[in-house]
Amino acid sequence: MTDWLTRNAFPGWLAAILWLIAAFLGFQVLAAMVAIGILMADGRFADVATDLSRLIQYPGALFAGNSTGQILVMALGSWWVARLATDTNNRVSFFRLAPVPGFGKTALYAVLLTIAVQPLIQLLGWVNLQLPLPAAWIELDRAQMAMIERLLKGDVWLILLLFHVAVVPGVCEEVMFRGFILRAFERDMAPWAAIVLTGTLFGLYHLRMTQVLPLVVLGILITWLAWRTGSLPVVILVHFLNNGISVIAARLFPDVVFDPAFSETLPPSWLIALSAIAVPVILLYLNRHLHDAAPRSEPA
Amino acid sequence: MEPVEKPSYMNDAVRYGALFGIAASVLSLALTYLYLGSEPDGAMFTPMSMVGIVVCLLGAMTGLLTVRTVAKTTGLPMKAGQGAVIGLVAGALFTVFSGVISVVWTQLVDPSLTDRMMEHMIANFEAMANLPAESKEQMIDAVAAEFEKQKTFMGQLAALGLNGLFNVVLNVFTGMIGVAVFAKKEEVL
Repeated sequence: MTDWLTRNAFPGWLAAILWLIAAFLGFQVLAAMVAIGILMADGRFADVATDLSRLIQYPGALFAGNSTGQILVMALGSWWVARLATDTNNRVSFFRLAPVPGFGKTALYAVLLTIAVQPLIQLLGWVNLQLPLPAAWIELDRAQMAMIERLLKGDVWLILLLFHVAVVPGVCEEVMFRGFILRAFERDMAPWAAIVLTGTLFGLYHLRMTQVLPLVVLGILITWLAWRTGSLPVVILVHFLNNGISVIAARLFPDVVFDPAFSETLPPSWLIALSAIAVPVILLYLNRHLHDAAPRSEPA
Repeated sequence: MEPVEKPSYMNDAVRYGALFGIAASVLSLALTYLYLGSEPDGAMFTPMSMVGIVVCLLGAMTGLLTVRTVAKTTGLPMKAGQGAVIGLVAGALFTVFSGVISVVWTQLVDPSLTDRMMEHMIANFEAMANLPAESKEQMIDAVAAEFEKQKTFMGQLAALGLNGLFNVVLNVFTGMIGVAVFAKKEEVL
């Protein structure tokens, strides 16, 4: 039996883009509803009703709204929407959740890659900051950073922070982007085009134009990893690690991480050079290991 | 995937995109000048309230009628996905035509139009007798901020992008409706 998209000659790329728009709107609405609902139940809604910027003073409500939106819309929604692109029996392989040979070693290379690429990502962040951007974008980014800083510096337990900032986005964003979106694009275009497009949309989805360059590059790298390893758990681990490092660094060295000069300063040149050498070497080893252990992921 | 015969739709999409894009622009400009010619009396419902509805309706018709014409001309059975793609292209062309006319008109033909509209809307808010002063102030500030954004080329481009996205998504659905209503059904053996 063929899937709905095939039966109706519906292009995968269009399904991916429509779902991206629907998920974006659905996430915003649900996250806001949950946060406001919690504040209303606590009798604190009156405080923010007149000035929504005061929402930042209630990190618990914001985190709960954000995580609920991600779990229900991005993860479960994508899982449900995938019914259009595959039949129920194939959904595990469609989302690249089936076990892959040599998973442990693949995961280890992916983790090493995530750590090794960080200086290059910071370099790209610096390059991004040198680009002329409209003042409104910079202002939006500053507001977002101020909110993130307040949330990470707040008196929320580290374990809860890791859950909301590393576990939930690690799973939910991966299910949506490297799960559904990548597969949907792969139906109609060459793998390289699907990888670049998925990674670019992942970077843009974060609405952080002052960091769009590193986010897009990281997005493309993670998408390539998902395609090449054929394993969503590997990229969930990478995403978790990437976000987790930021959370722990923000907790341990808040004055350094949130110092505006930090993002405007280049990492030491020896570290950039090391990263520039280590990344291709790890990619080479990963590729060789995968060649021996696992075939390239086939279309579901 | 079984091969599906693809009907040619570009000419029809351009024709309907241009037709409805120009029609939407002419009608919205006419309603705008009608509004500017009236006295601000504090009414909640003004000719300006109609602009969005008119543009939305004409926009939605673009995909629907393009699919109808393609279905009638080719006589081929069509699938929902084909209607969606035809709708998408027609919606994008509608945005291009109506957007270009809007930008050219407000930047070159009548550059003071945006300012006059803003002043007229603010005057209309001020004439609203039943509105509390605080709400009135907030609405005026919001309108002024919105018009300030729209005065710049970048602001117009951003608005055009958002309108385009809305029109494209809308026409994906009207294109699919068009297939369900107008296209020949495939014969089941």
